[in-house]
Amino acid sequence: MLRKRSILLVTLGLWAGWLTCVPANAAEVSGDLSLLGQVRQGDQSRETEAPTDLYGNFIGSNHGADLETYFRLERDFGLGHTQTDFYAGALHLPSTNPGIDITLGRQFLTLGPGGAFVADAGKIRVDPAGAPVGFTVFGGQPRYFEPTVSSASLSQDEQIFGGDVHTTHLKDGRLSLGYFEQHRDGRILRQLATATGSQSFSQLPGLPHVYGSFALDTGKHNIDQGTAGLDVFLSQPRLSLNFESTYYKPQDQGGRVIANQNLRQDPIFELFSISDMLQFRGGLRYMLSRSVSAFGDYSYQRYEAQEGHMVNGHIASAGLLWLPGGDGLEVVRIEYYLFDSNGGNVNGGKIYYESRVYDRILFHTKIDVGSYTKVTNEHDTAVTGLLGLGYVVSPGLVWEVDFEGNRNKDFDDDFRFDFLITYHFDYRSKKPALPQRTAGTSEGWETLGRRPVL
Amino acid sequence: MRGWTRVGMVLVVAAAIISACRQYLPSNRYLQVRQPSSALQSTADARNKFNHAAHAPVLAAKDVTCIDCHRFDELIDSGNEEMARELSALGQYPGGVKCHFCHTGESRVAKAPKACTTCHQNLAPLIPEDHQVAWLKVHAGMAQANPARCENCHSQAFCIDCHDRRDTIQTRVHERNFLFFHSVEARANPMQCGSCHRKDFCDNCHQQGKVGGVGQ
Repeated sequence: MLRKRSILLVTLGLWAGWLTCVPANAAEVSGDLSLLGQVRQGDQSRETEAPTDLYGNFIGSNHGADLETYFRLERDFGLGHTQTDFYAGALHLPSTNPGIDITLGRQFLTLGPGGAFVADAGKIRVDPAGAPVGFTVFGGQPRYFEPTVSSASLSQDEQIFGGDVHTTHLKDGRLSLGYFEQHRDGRILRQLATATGSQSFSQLPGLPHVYGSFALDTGKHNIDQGTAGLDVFLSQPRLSLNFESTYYKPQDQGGRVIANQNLRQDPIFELFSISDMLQFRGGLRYMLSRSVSAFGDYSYQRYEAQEGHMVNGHIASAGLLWLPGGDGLEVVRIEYYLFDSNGGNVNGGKIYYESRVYDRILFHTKIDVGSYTKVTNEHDTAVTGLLGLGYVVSPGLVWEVDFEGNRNKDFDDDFRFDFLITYHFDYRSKKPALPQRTAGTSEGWETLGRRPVL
Repeated sequence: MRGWTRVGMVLVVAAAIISACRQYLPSNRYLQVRQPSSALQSTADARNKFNHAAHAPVLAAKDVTCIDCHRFDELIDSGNEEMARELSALGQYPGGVKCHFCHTGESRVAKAPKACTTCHQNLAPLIPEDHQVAWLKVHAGMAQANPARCENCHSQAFCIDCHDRRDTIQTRVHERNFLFFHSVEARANPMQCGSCHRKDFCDNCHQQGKVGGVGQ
């Protein structure tokens, strides 16, 4: 209860501060509110669970300053427990001074091969006008939101900081050299010297685009990560290709076993591998016609599971994407997928259909069938299906009901009922230059931008 | 199992029939079909929304003149009047770069609206070409190389929704079935779990001897 109140106070405080600090004219506020609920039978307790989530994402802009907040309030009316998360509350000042971009508060941070974090942090990017290079510095404390039911094995007392020097005027490309340091539980976990780059060659056939990153752990003296990739887009035939290879070695332990998990850089990876991993992957998309395309993706991994014992892993998927009408109002996606490793193998198929043909009616359905055989001699075919029907009550406001059915080794029949109410709004405090828009005139389309459906 | 197969087949056939017969769907006062003309080409949609009169005071204050946006030095000699008219319209269109000079996160005109949906009704056609091939699996490399490019279109919530948001109602990255065979994929590519999960998340179920539970 106290935490919920704190989140409310922080959110209100941030917004009050923002509204009073910036002139009130021409303010632009947009937001997404989602209320989700589900009724189901718990797979452990077999009791009825009824989780209900309220998500709020608000973005305000005024005179170049942006404020974004994102939070979740959850209440399970079946089990009677409450959960709250405050994902983001950051003030972005892109034009306080020319060329200086400042972001302060809880934010999503990704910079170089150090990883992606939600952190209470500050980030300053300086791109002096006319200068060929700029620089970025950041620092903060990562925050994690995964539920921890049992006692935590990893400390959440972490700090990250670093920075980079990057090019600002490289034609069709970007290059940066940086440093990233992470501390956990008062000890240094990583000290990475990093390099990242990307370059497009728009004059060459196939418009190739290359990208890559490299990280050297200066403390442990090992190559932490290296990635190189290539994108090619051929117009005749309409073919898009991606190739990527990655080398990953989170830390060089030598012959030692690190008992303290807080000293392990990637504890999940170290459950499976004692050393490094090499990955090659390739993906393609081929336009069979204006509305039908075929896609495929394959990745091969090789790592040392035990000393002298290398294992291989294969992940593949292939399918068809059909956009009837070619406008994205309808999406039909059929996919076959395969996982094969020393843990077993999985063969499965997915079918997805979404329709936004009508102004007011939204419909989507999907079914996923996965057949697996594990090294533990466990085998089964798991099935899940979902049928959703939405109604656009007014521009931006959508009511939706979903019915979900599952069959797996836990349940012969597991039926769930969901409801979703989503509301998107845009508001400008001063009459805009463009003709006045009403709230959410995009009529539910913005969900395409927020949800990767393709 | 047979029952489920039948249900699946019925859904597939129903979806295929609905899709194939789209032009025959009823349209009346209750069921109004979206106009494809406004959904097909998002850039054209945005171009048609531009209002010169409304922009004039702002552009004049910034000393922006006609030729700063439009080219008048092109000669169209196609011999086809209709084609010439179309090419002329396209030639006069200054391009999205000119619009985005003000309507972006790092706006040069502070009060210029930044929401993509201000001008683009349908965001689907704006999805970049490189997002079409296994993008969920390879986006990390490009996001690391140039994070500012992501911020052009995506808010922080977009990244958080997959990397950090955990709700058991909607599935986003993994389908519901993934719970039953995640160990196979984890052994095929042990590098990827750590992108979003901490080991505590594994321990929630495995240390307690449970299967399922949290994250169902």
